[in-house]
Amino acid sequence: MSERVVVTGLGFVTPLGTDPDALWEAMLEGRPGVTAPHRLGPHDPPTKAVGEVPAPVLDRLLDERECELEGIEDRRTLFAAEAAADAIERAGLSTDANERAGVVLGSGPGVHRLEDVARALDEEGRFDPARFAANVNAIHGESLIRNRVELPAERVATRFGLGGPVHAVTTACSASNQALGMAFRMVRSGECPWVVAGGSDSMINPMGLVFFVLLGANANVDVNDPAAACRPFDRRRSGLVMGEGAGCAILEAESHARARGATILAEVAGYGSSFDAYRTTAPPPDGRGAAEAIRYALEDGNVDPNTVDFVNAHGTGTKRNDPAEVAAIRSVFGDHADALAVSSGKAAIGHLLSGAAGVAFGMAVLAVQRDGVLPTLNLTTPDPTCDLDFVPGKGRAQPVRAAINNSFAFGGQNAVVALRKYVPDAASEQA
Amino acid sequence: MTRPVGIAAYASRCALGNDDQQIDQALADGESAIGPLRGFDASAFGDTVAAQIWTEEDVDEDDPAIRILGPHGRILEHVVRRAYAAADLDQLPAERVGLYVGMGMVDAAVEDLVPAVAASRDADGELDLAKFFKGAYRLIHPLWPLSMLNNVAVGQIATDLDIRGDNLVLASDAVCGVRAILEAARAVREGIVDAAIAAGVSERVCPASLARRRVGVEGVQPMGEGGAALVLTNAVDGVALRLLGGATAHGPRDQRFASERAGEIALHQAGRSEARRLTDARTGVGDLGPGQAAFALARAAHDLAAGEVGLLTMDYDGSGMGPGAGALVVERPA
Repeated sequence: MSERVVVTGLGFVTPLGTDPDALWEAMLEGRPGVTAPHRLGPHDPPTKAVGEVPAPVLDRLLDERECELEGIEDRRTLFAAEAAADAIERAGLSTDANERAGVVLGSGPGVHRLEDVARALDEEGRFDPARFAANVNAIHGESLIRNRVELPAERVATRFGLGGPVHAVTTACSASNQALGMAFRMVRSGECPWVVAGGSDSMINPMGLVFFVLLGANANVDVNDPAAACRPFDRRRSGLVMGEGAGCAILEAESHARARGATILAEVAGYGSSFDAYRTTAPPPDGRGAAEAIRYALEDGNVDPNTVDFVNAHGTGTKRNDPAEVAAIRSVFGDHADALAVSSGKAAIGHLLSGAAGVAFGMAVLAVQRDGVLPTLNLTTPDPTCDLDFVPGKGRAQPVRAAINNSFAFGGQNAVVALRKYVPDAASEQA
Repeated sequence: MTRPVGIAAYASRCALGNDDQQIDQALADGESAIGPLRGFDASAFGDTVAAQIWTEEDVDEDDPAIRILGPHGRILEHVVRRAYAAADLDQLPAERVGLYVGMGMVDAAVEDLVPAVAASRDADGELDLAKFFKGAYRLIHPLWPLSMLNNVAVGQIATDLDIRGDNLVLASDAVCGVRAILEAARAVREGIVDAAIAAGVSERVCPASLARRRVGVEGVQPMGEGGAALVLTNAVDGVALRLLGGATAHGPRDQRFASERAGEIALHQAGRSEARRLTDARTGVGDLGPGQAAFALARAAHDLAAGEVGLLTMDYDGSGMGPGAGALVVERPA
């Protein structure tokens, strides 16, 4: 049994808002969503630029969801619940009788709240397990329970009564694409009629704001212009800018979608993943692992590379990732690479980490559906090692027959999803 | 087309032993590995026993590999390496070998954070974030972030073994170990890879994991107070899968499936259940979390006799904290 898999709903929580139409327009116009950190800004964190979900949006989500979610304070879970709810609603799916519908979400690691560690230190500053145990009921839920990777997926399943498989993918920056790929295989094989897939993340917390500083991966920031900090494919790029949010999609069996008269946004054609097997924090310069994942995704979906018009790139703005991704694209597409529109949204909203590919996938779906390509912001100084059409500054309208969504992780996991415009075949029409 | 998927090799490690022979012997002898908890004083938790893997090489903090892999990543590496070698996977193209892992909760190694937190306290002993951000955070080991990303451990293992194919890391409830096996079987069945290692590894036994059990979650009774009596443990297992009689023939390995220890995995059902965990501590290895399913599978493959169904293994979420379950059947190939 092999089902065609289509996208019937999208949901977003991003630094540029939650409404798909408004988000698409904002991204297309090149509106920046990266700012100085507001929430923890008064404490002067070493991370000077972030893509934060704006406070009014966060307040609205808390108002709308808090009761339903039993006071969840974990931002990943809140974002995932909102994006999933919107995707389900926009897909027109009933929340009844979903015994086989599943959830697969990418999610980031949990971290301890530092105040819980501080309370467990003795007078000499040593960790005292007895103090930790004595205050166990005072330990914040986010240090023990609510930081569980699977919590967002569980909450979505519980909230909407989804009775199929419920899983969390934890492969950092490639997590959402791997979740989408896993969901794609579940639907294609007939295991599930539809799956909520994508991911969410937020590391805008004390540990998160030093995480990439310790790894030396953060962008240099001009505090007077934090929006310019992330510069994918630009010669002056210096590192990534962290963001937060969620992107969810409904991947549905074509037969199921057509039977209920759903609006089909695009077809998920194929999925590919690979390991770099090179270094933990750097890709091979020739991008071979990324190229393999792109190739697998295209082959998996019988997508002619010459029909791909848009690449939603991983494009972190780090020194090593960007040229490796360009090399990968060139090795797969050959001469057609020069005809591709290639862009990274990370300059606009930051790197949403485990949720990044979820939002990027949704944007790629809209690109295919609406025949438009998104821009790469802050690309003002060309880099000879990055020599593709990155659509600098503003997006544009153009036909998009097929697109790919790239994501590559620390650890060397690569994941690529291929999309194409949905065209019903004879069997579909007959059904 | 449904193609059978066989078990070509397996490897296990738990508190009863570091390899399958030791574990088999301990199980046959009715031994229990549950004993006094080591590594830190847990008396205040009221939980003084656990089934821990404990060798010096696993806890050597000066070993850079352990810094990146983390203790449970190191245990995972041991069994993946053994399963890989036993199935001769180095004979296959690196791109045609996959790796699918279910991993337990990654708790921050508190000891790595302590110097920074201690330097960030105000006069009342409370955390002062401004102090932390101003420079105290620099006292955190620079590799600490990598130890928080469990996919990094899996990536490091793939790098060491030169595995370049399809892959997945799931977390962190017990059922993710079953799903890792199912996705590996799916990938082999659908021809995405020629062989795959499916593995699972438990969470660490540490103050945070003890505290998590202690506080209880959403209807699950804390350890020792009735309900699901879970014994924490460090354990891991791996199963290598590949096509039976498929297009990829590699000489001696095909003969392995005719051996008495051959097995076949067929996906019969996958779904979820909100049923409470059925914990069986009779084997004396405790709750293996995501490692449970592959461990059971490995044991079943070891014990298969000709023509018999090996084992129906079902794994529910490790604590009842959320929905999720999978099931699979292990059978001898026809």
